[in-house]
Amino acid sequence: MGGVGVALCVLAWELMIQVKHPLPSVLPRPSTVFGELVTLLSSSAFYHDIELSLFRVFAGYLLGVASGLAVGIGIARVRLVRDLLTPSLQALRFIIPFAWIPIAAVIFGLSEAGKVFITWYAAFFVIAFNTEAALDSMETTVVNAARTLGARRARLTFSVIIPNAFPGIITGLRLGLGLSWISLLAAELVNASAGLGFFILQQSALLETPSVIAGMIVIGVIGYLMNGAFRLVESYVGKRSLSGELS
Amino acid sequence: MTAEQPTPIAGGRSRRGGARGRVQDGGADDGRGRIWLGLVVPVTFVIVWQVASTFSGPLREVTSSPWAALRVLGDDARSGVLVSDLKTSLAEAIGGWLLACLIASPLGVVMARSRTLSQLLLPAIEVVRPISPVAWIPLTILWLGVGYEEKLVVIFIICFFIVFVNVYDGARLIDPLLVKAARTLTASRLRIAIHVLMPAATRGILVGAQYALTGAWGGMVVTELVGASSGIGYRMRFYGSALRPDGVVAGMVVVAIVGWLLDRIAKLLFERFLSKYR
Repeated sequence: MGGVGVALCVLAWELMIQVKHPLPSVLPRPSTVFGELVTLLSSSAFYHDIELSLFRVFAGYLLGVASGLAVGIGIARVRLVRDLLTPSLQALRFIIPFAWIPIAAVIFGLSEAGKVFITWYAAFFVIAFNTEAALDSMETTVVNAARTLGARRARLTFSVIIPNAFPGIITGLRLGLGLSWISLLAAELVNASAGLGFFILQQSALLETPSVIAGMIVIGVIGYLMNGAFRLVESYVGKRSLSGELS
Repeated sequence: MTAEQPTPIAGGRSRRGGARGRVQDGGADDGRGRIWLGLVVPVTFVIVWQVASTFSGPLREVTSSPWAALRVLGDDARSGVLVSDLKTSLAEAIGGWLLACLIASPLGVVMARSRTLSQLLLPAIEVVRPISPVAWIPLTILWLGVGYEEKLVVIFIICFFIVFVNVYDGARLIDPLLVKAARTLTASRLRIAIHVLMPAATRGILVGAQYALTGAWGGMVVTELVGASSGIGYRMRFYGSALRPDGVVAGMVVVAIVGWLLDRIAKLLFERFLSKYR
């Protein structure tokens, strides 16, 4: 399916060039872009950009996973935490990660901390909300069954509710990584001196369209792989979830 | 292909059957609502921030203070800058959103019902979709320069995929039993189309449009941050470059409030229509 899609896109692309004869700087030929992609993938400078972007994403993302899970579980299971934090989190979620980019630039300058803050912020909210929703939405029969067997608060939370919420939690982790990646790209477009996002912006300023498109393809592939890896985890976890075993 | 969105804080519907609901173990939600507790965190934060920035020069330079941000907001509102920025930003966001809805909705419905068309176009759409819309910005700037059209295109791309996915799924996943039931009542294909397909498709359109509006507003922020000459996002970058965090914070507040308003309006409008089609 993917192969057919790529082939169709390349075909349509080549067709458009034959029909419209655009400038190579506006729409280069697929072969030119492919050649540029190969060149880039064998250049260490490009790998440095990729590594930097990935580092920024994963550093913030892992922090976001830890904090998001903790807060999500806390809100779902501890009443005090829920009362204290929910209104603030609901309000803050309308300050989208992108809106934090300018102030992060002022506070952190061009340093890595600024980018990691943005990726953390993006992941944290998505993971916290999804985890909370997953924990809150549970098959009551399972919970009641566990309680008749004498499970108390902590045991209930960790042995029954969280495992049962795994699929929802994993979905949250997947969406969080996706938003982290997008937010990082945006931050690199606005305020960076290196990285994938910065690379494509710089190339577009130099009218190096083949490089821009090659960079976009790399970005797309990375995003696709990140999403795909989680989908694999989701399907594996889905088979082993508690309710999956019970039904 | 499923419509992916972060789930809101609410009880969910189980797809595996079985009752689902808030875990009733006297846990985190008693329903008595100690609402005032929710204000503790934000009020404390604002107070601490204001006091700290009053006494600390370095902090003030970097984050300014709540009061300073409010002052900038007032100044910009009075001078008309805020209104003109809002007009630009809303024009970009809503323009791209509308265009996407108008194009993605019929496309989604037609593709959902036509196997040949979907086999032809779907692979191409699925290949382009993983390329985050943000990554399209440099190319779009290269093509169209920095301006209204460029922002419209980027926001269109963001909204298109959101609406398309929701419409396509909605129109595709129609319970075949419903169609069979209609057929046993000797309904013609046209009547089936009207009474079974359209409600399902409309549901998809409404849900997709709702999510897309939020995406459009966020897209506006990004595109304006990268390059613009007016608008809320531009204003934030402008103040940021001038090292005026008070202006940046003011901009963040506006982004949040308008984003919330759009979300509210979309919910109100669409949920009213949605209830007719359940």
